[in-house]
Order: sequence, then C-alpha cells, then structure tokens
Amino acid sequence: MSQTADPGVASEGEPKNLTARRHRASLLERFAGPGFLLVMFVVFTALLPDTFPTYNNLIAVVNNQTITAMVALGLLVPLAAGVFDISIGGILTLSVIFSTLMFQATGGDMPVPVVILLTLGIGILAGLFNGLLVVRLGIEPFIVTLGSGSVFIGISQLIANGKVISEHIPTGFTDLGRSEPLGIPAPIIYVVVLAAALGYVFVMTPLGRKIYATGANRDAARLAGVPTDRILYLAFMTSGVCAAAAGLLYAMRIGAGQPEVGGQYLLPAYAAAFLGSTMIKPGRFNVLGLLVGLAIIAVGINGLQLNGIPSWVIPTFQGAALIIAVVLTKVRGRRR
Amino acid sequence: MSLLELHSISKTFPGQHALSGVDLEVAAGEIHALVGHNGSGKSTLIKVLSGFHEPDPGSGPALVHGREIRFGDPEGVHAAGIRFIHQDLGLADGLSVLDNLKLGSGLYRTAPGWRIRRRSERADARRRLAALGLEHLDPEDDVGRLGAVERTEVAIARALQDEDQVRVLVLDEPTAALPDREVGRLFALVRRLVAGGVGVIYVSHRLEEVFDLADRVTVLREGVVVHSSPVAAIGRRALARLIAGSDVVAPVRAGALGKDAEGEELLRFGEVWTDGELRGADLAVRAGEVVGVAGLSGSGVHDVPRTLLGGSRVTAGEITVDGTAVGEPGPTALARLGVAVVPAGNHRKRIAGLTVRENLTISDLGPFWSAAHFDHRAERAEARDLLDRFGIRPREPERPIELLSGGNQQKVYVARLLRTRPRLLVLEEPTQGVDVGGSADILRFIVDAARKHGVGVLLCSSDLEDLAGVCQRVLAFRAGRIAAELVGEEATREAIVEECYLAEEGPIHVADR
Repeated sequence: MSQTADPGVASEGEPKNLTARRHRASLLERFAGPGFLLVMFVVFTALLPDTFPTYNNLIAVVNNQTITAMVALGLLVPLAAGVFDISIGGILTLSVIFSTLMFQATGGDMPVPVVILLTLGIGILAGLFNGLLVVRLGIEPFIVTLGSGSVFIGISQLIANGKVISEHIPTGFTDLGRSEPLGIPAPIIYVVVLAAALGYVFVMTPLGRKIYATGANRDAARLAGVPTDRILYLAFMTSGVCAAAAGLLYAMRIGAGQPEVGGQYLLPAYAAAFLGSTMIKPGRFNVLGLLVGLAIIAVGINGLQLNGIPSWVIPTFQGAALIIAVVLTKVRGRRR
Repeated sequence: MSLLELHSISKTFPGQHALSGVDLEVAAGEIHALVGHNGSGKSTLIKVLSGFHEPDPGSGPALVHGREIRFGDPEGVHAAGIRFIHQDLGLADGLSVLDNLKLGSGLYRTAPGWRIRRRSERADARRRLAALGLEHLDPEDDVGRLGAVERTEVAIARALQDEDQVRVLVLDEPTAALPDREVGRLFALVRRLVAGGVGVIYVSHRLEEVFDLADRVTVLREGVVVHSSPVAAIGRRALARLIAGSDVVAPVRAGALGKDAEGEELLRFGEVWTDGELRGADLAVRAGEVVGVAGLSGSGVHDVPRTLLGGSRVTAGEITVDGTAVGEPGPTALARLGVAVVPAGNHRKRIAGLTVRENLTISDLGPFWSAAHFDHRAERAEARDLLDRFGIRPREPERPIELLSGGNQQKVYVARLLRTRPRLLVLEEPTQGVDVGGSADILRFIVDAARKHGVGVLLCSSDLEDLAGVCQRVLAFRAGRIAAELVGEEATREAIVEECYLAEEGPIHVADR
C-alpha cells in the first residue's frame, strides 16, 4: 500500500519512465507458472528417465485431464464475469446419466447426434436455471449453484435409480471418446478446439471485454452500458454446456454412467482456473493460464505418483494449488 | 467561560487548505449552529474535533472547561465529555436497541460464565431511555425496523448513556434523513439536553432549523469563519448570502443560445413522482443547452439521475425522450435513445481490474469490431486520442484505472460516455472530489459538448461554482419538486443558495404518496 514500497503508485513529481513500466505485469510474473512447469518437467525427467518423459506417459497425462479441462474452460466464463458456478459437478453427473440412460432405454437405437444435442441442451437449461435465480431474484451465485448442483445430482440418482448404466451404449458413441486420429486421442482435439474458441472470444471480441467488465464491477459496467444481465445468463449457460460436454466425454470414454462421478472435477477445475489467473495475463482469468495451471497440477501429480507417492497426495496437491493461487493474487494486489 | 473553545484550527490536505485559522466557542446550555456549503470545511472541523484528523502544527489549543485536550486522540476527546452523532448514525441493523446501546461501550455487566444479565440490562436501558424522554423505544426492538427519527434517537441515547459525563454533543446533519414532520420531536430532545447544561454543536444545511433551534450561528466558507453571531442578530437572506459568497469566476455559459434556446426538446420530466424523492418534478432539457439542477440532499436533486438509471421507480407522471415516453428507464434503455448518464461516485463508474483504455472504450466497442476481427490497434489509437483531448494524466492507456487520481478518473468516465456521441448528457456531481484544474477541464468539456455538438446537458450538482458558472438555466429543487427557475444572469451563487436553502414559509411539509 505505501508509496515507498511500490514506485508503481508514484506521486506526480516522479519521472514518467519510472512509473510507466511498473503496472504492466513483469515477464517474471507472467511466465513464472510456465517456468515452474518446465522445472518440474526437467526434475521428473532426471528422476525417472525411463517412465516419465515417454510419449505414452505424457499423452496419457494430457488425455486424463481432458474432462477436467473441459469443465474448467467452461467455468472460466462465469469466473471472468465475477460469479461462482459450483453446480458444474452436478451438471456433469446429470449429463453422464442422461446420455447413457437414453441409449439404455432405447436399446441403443437413439441416434448418437440426437443424444449429444439433447444432453448439451440439458446443460444449457441447467445454466439458464442458475442464471434466472441469480439475475431475476438477485441471489448469491455461490448459494444458488451450491443448491442447484446438489439438486442435479439428486435428479441423476433418481433417474439412474441408483444403478450404473452400461447397457446398449453404442460403439458409435464411445468411439468419439476413444479414437485416436493421427495418434492423438480425440478428447485432446476437442479440448484444443474449445480452448481456441474461448480464447478467441475472451481476447478478440467485444463480448470478451464485456465479460471481463462485468466481472470487474458489475454495477459500473451496467451503468456504462454493458448488458450485464445477459452476460450473466450467457456465463452460466456456457459453464453449463461445457460441463454437459465434459459429461458426454466421460460417458464416451468409460462407456457407462455412475451417479457419483461429478464431484471429483470441481476442485481441480477451480484450482486450474485460479492458478491460471496468476500467469500469462495476471489478474485476469485466461485460457492459456488455465491450461498451464492444469498442466502444473497434472504433471505434478503424475510425477509424484510415478515416484511412488501415495494417493492422498492428489487432493492435497490440488487444494494447495488453489490456495497458493489465491495467495499469489492477494500478494500481487497488495503490492499495488 | 466557554464550555468548549477551539482556537485557530488549520488543516491542509494535499493541494487544499480545508481549514484556515478557525475559532469556535460553545457555551454551556447553548446550541451552536455550524453552517456552510459543501466543501466549506464543516466536516473537516468536526473530524479534527473528534480526533479523526490531526490539524496542522501550530493549531490550537482546544479546551474543554479550560482544560486542554490533545488533537488526534479520540479517546481523550471522549474522556473530555465530547460526543458525536454522525450523519450515518453508526447503528447495527439487525441488532436490538439494547445491543446497539451497549455496542462498543463495553458496559454489559456479566454473570459468571460471561452470561449477559439480559433482564437487568433491559430494565436499566428502559430507565435510561425514559430519563431522556424516549420511553416509546423498546430495548428489544430491532434497530433496522425503526423509523428514521427513532434511529436518530437511539444514536443520541447511545451517545448519552453516561450522561453525567457528557459536556458537548455534536450533531452532524441529524435531520438530513428525517421527514420534516419528525424534526420537531428531535428538536424537543435537543432542547431538553441543553436545558441540562450540555453544549450542542449543530451542523445543518437547513437554514430554517438554524432559526428555529440555535442560539448562535457560525458560517464557514472555504475553510474560513466568515461570520459568527447570535442567531437573533442575522436575517435569513443575509445568512444565505454569507454561505454562498460571491461569484468569483466569470461564468462561461454555454453559447449564445441562452434564453431563446430553440433547440428541440430532448428530455422531459412531466410531473414525475417516484418512490425516491421526486414529488411532481417537472423539467425539460433542449438540445444545445446546459441546465443545472440544484438542491440540498433529500430535495430530489439526486433522484433525477437515480430515476433515469432505474434506481428509483416512477409512481406517477412520465419521463419522455424526444416526446416518446420511456417505459422503464435504465442505462441500456436510455443509451439506445442517445441519453448518457454519469452518476456520482467514482466507485460506481470505475471498472477496476480493467485498464484506462478498456474503461474508456467499454461503452461502445462496435467501431473496433468488424468481420469477426477486433481491431486492437484502432482501439489503442482512439484511447490515446481521448487521453489527449480530455487532458487525462498520465497519458498511459495501459495503466490500471484505479491508479489514476479521482479527477482523472472522472475525466475518463465523462470521456467514456461523450465518446458514444449522446444527444443528451446527464451528469451528477461531476466535479465532486476533483481539484480546481480538473473541475475547470470537466466543465469545459460539458460546455463544448453543448456549444459545438448541440448536446443537451443536465447538470445535477451541489457545487455552486459549477451551476453558476456554466448553466443557462438553474432549477432549484425543494421537497421533490422545482421551487424556482433561475434563467441566465439570475443564476448567481447567491440566488441559487437562497432558493435551495430557504423555504418560503416555515418548514415544508412533505406530502406522502
């Protein structure tokens, strides 16, 4: 806070060129995350030259993160718009159960594209429901989505009747998640496409700017003419449809639906998003940062596991990453 | 001997002498009114007295009963028997009257196990309230559900709970939030207090209250005491004149349109009532003219922009733009009609986390967007151009907006909306908290917009300089409607103050609807 601690908040008498540099994030700040990833990579390669840096291991590490990545990318939109969405785990569960159940109920006769479109539609509807409660009734997004997420899980359990759904899932459906065109698993391609699309919206369109403005100060953005209500609907619907897509991906890869699948993706998605907001474009939720954040978590866990470190490390590592991300943001804000 | 004496208090803020050698004396049993326009130094003086601000070196001494009190020492001030009731009262809604009385006083007596002796505390509170003539307050009532006057009474009761030690009570605009018919009850309480020998400093905007209640009056203007006398020794007009001062800056009224402004009518309030403060407000703004709206807080002056932004609901009458009724006003609906509203308060306009450039362009990104491509270079060029045209310093479009000074931020927000080429611009307190140079700049942009581009401007301000300086017409609000219209040369500071501060006959009784 104090002026002596940071020349960036210089008084007017100070030379211009001194003040000019400081409020853009330094290179160190922007690329500390990717640097850390690189260091981890080098260390694990040195420790485990035979298992860690192989194509098979690395592609598996990435492929294992595709579902989390899809959830997290969708989550980025509400976070950038300044609202929490913690119903994404519930929507993912609902999507897994709904899509697999439609095949099972029709004996596998329902056309694959129809199932996919209907499931994505459910995700959009779920987001619309969240948006309605937040915008129309002005309820805290955190509370709304905490409640609705639980409701979605409840509905999933109801329609699944407590059983795992695994019959009549057509290979035309599962192939979409298991094929490897050009040796690259299909899910990775989906994630890359989604990330590119979202990155384009955030950086290259007026809509992206309006999302960030809504997140920075909703009231001021509204007074400046930004249609903040519409932005919030859009944000929840985006996270909803992405969570539904992630659920589809899960169903494709596993070929079955269990009613308690969604919860495990919530924490890593948040950890990656917040970790990502401290790098590349510090202070802003951004796509590249999120992908690097996710990679840090994934590579970290993979390397530790290959070193024979037990499974309790995973939640600890994810939780610690989330807290460290928020602490970094706080420290950065204080230096201002 | 006076009860309270303040001698030559000075306080300098960066770039501004808030107080210069102010003396103030309050006798026991006296109600001393402290008046002055916004920014005259009243609040600063109260904050120096309360220990919140330390005055400049060389100020003082401050004496209570001849004993010196230290500056910048709120506890010492409290121990000397000075109590403050600030405008916002500082009550905790959701807690009971009893809890509020005990808040911060540390006066709860507890039984073993730190249990509060609820029953005896309640009885005790009843007794104390009754002693102040406030037996209608129930200690168990939720403060958040009380009316405005009861809330003020609770705040007073809290300030006086160790009554035998209270020597001076400072009331900072206690009636600002009260309907006029409730003011009498508050006055009765204040009079009972002074009858017991307490001295009262009464800060108010309402001149009729000064004449109804006070024994002495001191007028501050630009940090200097310009008058101090018994109330009986001064008339209302003279007092208004003292508060206003004289026009020091030659007006730069917007263009030659003047009285015979025949621009087309852009905005009209037709007998508008709201659930806020408007009680049949009637006004019109034409293209190319700058219309001022003046008034004390609560008079409706701030409800005009609030209503336009959808913060107050229209209950009767209608608002028209270009002769067409606006169904539900709000920033987006108005923007579509070419009306831009700049509300008061930087926090309501500052999109912190975005850069200066992004804050400048957010209201209209259309020009940079074509064929699925966002032209960042054009945006940067326009941002730099705006920084130059509006004299925004420093000239760094990528600086986070929150690192700009208040005045430069205000310029950003005016530029943001002027950039959208509105036909009508509504500004609320555009120069509040802005230094002299910045204020002059902002007023110049406003006049330029009207003169060169034919923009109609509605300037809702409590700053006399703004109003007398640039407006062709000034509408004075009282009790939610326009009490007077001052045209052209009539709109002097003095005339504006007279119309705003003075009720024609006694207190105005606000009708409810």
